[in-house]
Amino acid sequence: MILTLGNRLDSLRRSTLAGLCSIGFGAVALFGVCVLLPGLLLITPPSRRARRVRGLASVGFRILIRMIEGCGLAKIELEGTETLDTEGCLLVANHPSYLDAVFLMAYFPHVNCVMKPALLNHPLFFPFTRLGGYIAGSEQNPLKLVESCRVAAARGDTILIFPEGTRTTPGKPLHFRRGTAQIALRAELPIVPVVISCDPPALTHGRPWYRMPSRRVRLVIRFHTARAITDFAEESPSALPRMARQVTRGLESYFVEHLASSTRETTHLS
Amino acid sequence: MNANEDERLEYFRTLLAERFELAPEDLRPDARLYEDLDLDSIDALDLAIVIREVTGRKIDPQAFHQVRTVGDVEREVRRLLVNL
Repeated sequence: MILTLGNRLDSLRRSTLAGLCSIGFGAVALFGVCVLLPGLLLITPPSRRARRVRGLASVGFRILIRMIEGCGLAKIELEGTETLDTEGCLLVANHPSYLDAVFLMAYFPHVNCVMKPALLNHPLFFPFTRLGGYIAGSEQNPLKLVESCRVAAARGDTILIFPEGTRTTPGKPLHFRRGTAQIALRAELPIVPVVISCDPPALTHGRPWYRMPSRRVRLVIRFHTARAITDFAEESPSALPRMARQVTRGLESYFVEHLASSTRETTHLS
Repeated sequence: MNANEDERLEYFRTLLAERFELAPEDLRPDARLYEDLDLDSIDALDLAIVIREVTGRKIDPQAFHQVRTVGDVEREVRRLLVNL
């Protein structure tokens, strides 16, 4: 893409809008933390607390998505939602951009996810991340993590997980870590593959909000049918460490294949 | 070390290769479990299980914590086999 003056101005305009959306969201989050959350906690019995907190967080994300779509920064397209039932499932998604996580948290009102320690300690969001009953991410105690996922899924939670563990690095091949496979295998959870493409790349690893592209971002989110994680294994059931490795590779290939075909589609359309 | 212990150690190496998808030549004594052989924290738990399967005994958590290389593990396995 040639960087004409027009492009640069568009980029600048979009970056300014992105900055404004961030500030707007900051204000919404602050209001949520200081006013709405305490209010919610006062009127909610402890047993319903975590779920309601996640519901409130989701409202905040929905506002952010409205802002982003409203000012023309991004357009989000969904596919495969007709027969979608994610209760008790692992939502397994690739992670090209910040936007995809924001959107999924907005779209699924009570979605659970593995919360990184950085977010559990975030100066602004910690009341939400700590009170929302999210699954605490822990390197030290992986079996506890698996058990937390099992418990959450058993009560009907949808659990969002990114096998990459972080946003995709543009230009580098997809790299899935084994955590997702281990959780799915040991907690015996069905998975819903969510294939996400972001064109042009925005809010990716290494591209902050002030480097927005010069045209509108098209985020396409495709939900595939739920299936057992063992479907991705190359051989019949074997020991867990081996299975986890096979299944991770299978999952990675699946995503690589589907992302490639969605790129081909986009190229044909434009 | 008697023949039975050698056999058990060989069995341990076989299980290691099979469970963690490693080639026999990867199992050099100086090969680091985490950096070279791509084991992670959950694999470490499965490794302890393999050790138990082969030796019939649980490895001491302190000793297990010190283990860094294939050589370290094999030394621990030997120790557990000999003390039977």
